Amino acid sequence: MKLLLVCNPGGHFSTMMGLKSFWSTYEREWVTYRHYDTQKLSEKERVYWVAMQEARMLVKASINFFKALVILRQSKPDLVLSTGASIAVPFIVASKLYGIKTVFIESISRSGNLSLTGRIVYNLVDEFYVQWPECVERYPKAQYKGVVV
Amino acid sequence: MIVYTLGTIFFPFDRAVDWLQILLEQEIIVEPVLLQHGATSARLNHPLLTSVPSLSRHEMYAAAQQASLVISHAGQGSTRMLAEMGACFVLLPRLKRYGEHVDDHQLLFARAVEKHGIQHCIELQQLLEYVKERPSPFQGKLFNAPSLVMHLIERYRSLELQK
Repeated sequence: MKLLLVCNPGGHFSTMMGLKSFWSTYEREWVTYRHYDTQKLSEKERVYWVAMQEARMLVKASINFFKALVILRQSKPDLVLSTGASIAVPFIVASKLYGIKTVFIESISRSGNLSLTGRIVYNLVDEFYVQWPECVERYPKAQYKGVVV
Repeated sequence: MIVYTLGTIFFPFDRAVDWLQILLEQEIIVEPVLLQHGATSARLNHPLLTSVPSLSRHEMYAAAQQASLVISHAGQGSTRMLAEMGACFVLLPRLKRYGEHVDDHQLLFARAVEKHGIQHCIELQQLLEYVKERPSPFQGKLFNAPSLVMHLIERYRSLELQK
């Protein structure tokens, strides 16, 4: 199985690092943008750098959607795994078009309701994980299987 | 030493810097401060203050270990690290109404972890009190929950075996 790991810098990136014991056993590539914490990633991992895209940046999201179409064709992952945030949207939409399986993990900082990204991808992804049991009550498709530590 | 960390997200957190300025100028803080300001302008000049845009995880860990108090934005990564290391810390949630984040999830997160004994400040007066009277170091485990990574490992191992 080949993975494509998609995340924004900051807490989303540190959450992805917290999943290392899962992704490190598979062939994988990364998608993120350069920031203080992510810039050294390419020393050890294969990284596709995309345009800096943060919340509500629709133009950037559109640019990254076209990049996603190209990257997914090139990378050919079996599974796209994202810990958010907004970069997940173009990649999950594009994965859907290609019929690639997707998994989204909502941030642990979302204790009551989902992020905007979470709400957008909720109906698109194959598996949707939350990190607070309370979230499952409001979003029945979401699964609570614990937290990323 | 006090560590004052605002995270690295691109939204400015000027209110936090304004508050730090007041605490320094009124000599409520009288010890060295390490300010990690990220995308916020660190326009302050004070003999006690050292400002850096970012710190690696390792550097942040080392600084927080030496600190008598850590004042941190309410990001989940920072909060979990500080809780894990048993730091003496208090959270400053970034708020939407001041353009400090996309929405108020940092406030909701701070409220959610409050029941575990983690304090947060909405107003300067509260922060002032925590500087004068330090919260006790965090003890215990913040998220005593199953491990999602174990679930993923087992789930995808069994899916692979089915192939």
